[in-house]
Amino acid sequence: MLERLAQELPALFGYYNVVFVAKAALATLALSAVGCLVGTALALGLVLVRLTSGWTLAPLRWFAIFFVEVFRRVPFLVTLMLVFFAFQLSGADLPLFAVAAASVCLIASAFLSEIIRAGFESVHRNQWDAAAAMNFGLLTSVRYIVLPQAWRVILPPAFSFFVLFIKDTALASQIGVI
Amino acid sequence: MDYTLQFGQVWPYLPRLISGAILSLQIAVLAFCGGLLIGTAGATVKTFGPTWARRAIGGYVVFFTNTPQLVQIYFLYFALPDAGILLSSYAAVLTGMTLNAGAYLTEIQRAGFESRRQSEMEAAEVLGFSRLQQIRYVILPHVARILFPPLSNQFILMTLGTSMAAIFGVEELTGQAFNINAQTFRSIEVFSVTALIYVALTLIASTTLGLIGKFAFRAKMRFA
Repeated sequence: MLERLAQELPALFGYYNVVFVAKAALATLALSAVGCLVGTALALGLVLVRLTSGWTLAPLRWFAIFFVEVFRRVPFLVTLMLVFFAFQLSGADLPLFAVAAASVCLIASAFLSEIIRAGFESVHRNQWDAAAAMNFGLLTSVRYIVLPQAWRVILPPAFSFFVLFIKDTALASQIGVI
Repeated sequence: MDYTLQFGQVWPYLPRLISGAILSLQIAVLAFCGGLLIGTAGATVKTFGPTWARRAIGGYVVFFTNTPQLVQIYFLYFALPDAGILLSSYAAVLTGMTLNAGAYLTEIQRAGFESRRQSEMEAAEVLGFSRLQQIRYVILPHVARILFPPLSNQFILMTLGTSMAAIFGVEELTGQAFNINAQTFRSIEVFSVTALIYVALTLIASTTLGLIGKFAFRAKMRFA
């Protein structure tokens, strides 16, 4: 077996294979980057929606909770298939990379929103009350009071999720993303 | 866009999906138990063992936590036959998931072991506890309480991870979904029903684990 491996090794590491693998690695990187960036932005949005009060926004809050709970509990492969067939159904002629990127964003936003929410919860209730007493709105209190304190709690699990995530993009190979 | 959703066509296949879900759960439980054995041994060695053994375990953990699980199973399933070891798809998936889980659980449990406090052990020694009693009455309750939430979290993630088995032709939940999709071409319906079953499965699992954690280990659990 080893002799055969040694024989095939030069062909395996030939110019075209190396270029091909390098391109594929770039695609993985791009997919992960899109997932992490867009996912974080969407996740922050979801958390903000869940923090709102008042009954007019209640349906939006329910949607956010539903979205997060569903996509955290569905395997990446199944989400990928769902998004893949949903795009096919809608008739939009998109490249496979876009399909993979869309499902990656869905999953990342669901997981990251839980991480961010846990970080927000680690900020003491008094800080929220103090912000409210200073007549800060939701956005300003998050921006100036909560986020600066919460991001130290958010970053470690968020980064470990990013690492998990880069590996999960391997599944995108199943719909033919190279 | 002239596609009408017809969930009625998926209905007759529901028993197959359910049996697939049971197989998924079985793979997750078996891999988790195997991983727990490896993880406990690994974490013990990493906390108390000699330097060379610590390095070896460290290498194992780094290798398995930094490569995609899919690639690990690909290696077991497609590369090992070249070396004369032929694994069935089920065995390859189970082995791959166990080894992968072992690496993650080693790290989780090592963190738990390190959370034990010197003062607690000394207090136990002052009370005249033997080494075994110290482990049984002081260290284990404390460590179990700390470890239970991350371990149950890992179990849920592994339940989702079993969907990878479908790629190798194991007929668990996602595998059955692929088969039914190929038979009926009702892709959206099949995969959304599959997704719902996964949601139900993990909801049941996390609620059960949460109750066990709360009442048996007095761990701080977050439900659902």
